[in-house]
Amino acid sequence: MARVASTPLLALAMLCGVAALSGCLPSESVSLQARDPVKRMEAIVDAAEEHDRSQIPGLVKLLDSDDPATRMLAIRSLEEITGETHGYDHAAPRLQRDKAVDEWVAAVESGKYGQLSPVARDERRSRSSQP
Amino acid sequence: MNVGTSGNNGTNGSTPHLRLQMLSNPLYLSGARELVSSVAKRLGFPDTACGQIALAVDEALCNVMRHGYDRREDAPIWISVWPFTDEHGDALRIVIEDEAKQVDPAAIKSRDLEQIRPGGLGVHIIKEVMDDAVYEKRDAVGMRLTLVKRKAPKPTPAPTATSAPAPNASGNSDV
Amino acid sequence: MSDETLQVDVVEQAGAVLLAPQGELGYNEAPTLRQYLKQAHDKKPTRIVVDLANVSYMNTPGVATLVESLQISKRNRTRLILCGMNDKVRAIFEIARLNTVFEIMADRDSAMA
Repeated sequence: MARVASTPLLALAMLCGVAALSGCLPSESVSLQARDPVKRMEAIVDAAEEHDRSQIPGLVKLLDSDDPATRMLAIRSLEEITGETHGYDHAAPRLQRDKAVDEWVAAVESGKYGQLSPVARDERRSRSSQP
Repeated sequence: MNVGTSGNNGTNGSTPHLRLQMLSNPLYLSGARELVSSVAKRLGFPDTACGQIALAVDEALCNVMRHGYDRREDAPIWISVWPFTDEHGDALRIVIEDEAKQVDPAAIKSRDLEQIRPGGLGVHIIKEVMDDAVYEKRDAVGMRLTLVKRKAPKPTPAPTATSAPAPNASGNSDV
Repeated sequence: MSDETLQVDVVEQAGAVLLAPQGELGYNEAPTLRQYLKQAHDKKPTRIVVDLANVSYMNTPGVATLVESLQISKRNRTRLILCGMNDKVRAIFEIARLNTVFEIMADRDSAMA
């Protein structure tokens, strides 16, 4: 089951925050999957700076983030890399965002941005793409 | 809204109504953007539009300073302003030119990123507040950004409607 | 040099740090605010309030500094509150659609309450 659910992820992020407070968290590396929002932010910004198309699926996944700032960073980064937004607005209501993310997922799958790994989208979020 | 290349240099070959040469020193940022926005104000643009023009000019100048000139503070930047009227009504064209290294306009958006750090925000803002924004290489050296702001709200692109020309291409028989 | 570009008043009160920058928050000044925010985060307060009442103008470098600080706040579980925005400053948050991303309050008193 592709349950890379954002809820446990968020819980982890919170844990990470608490641990960081006490200074006992081993420093996490910069990646789109980082639990630490700062490391995640750095990875998003790096992807855009480097126009790194291989990061597109990971960025699309972040469009589903529960954190609006992460969503904003992810869409700006995707726009940097591809020149497109597929109508995504980080501040729009969930349903509206889901539709735009569906478009992103379809565009990635279509090979439009090159040969990329599929978007490992949380099932809960991808249901709107189901008939 | 366009961000991309265009053969249109936006000047219509005519003398600008206002032309400012400044150094790439951030000290002059506020003066430059205030000058352009106060001109817009005198041309009858509403306050909101004037604020948006100031913001776009500021973002664009920051970009030239930070990325075009790598924070060099003694390089030239030119801002030219032309009011014009076409079938969509009154508008203001602002052209920002530099002598910085030429970049592929397709890649220019990424160049904004570091400055903006959460990226793409500066270009996003320019796109949001202006009706048109076109990056292109200047003939000999440097880059040119042509911005257009319309007095009336942005016409929404309607592909079916009388093959509406891109706002940038209108009223402009380029030399 | 930094105090030439941007003056920032700092008030510490009951586990909260209030930063009140004065003037413009753009390309030149954002790095100074960033330093102040970093120092504020280092104190691991429960709350950081950025009072923008005396900020006359802001552009992306200023906004980006605040977004970065917001992410640090999340890591540290600090509440970051912006307050006192004038219309011009509020406009850029609206254009960037960040008005819903930040916790924004009317004024310093409500933000510190």
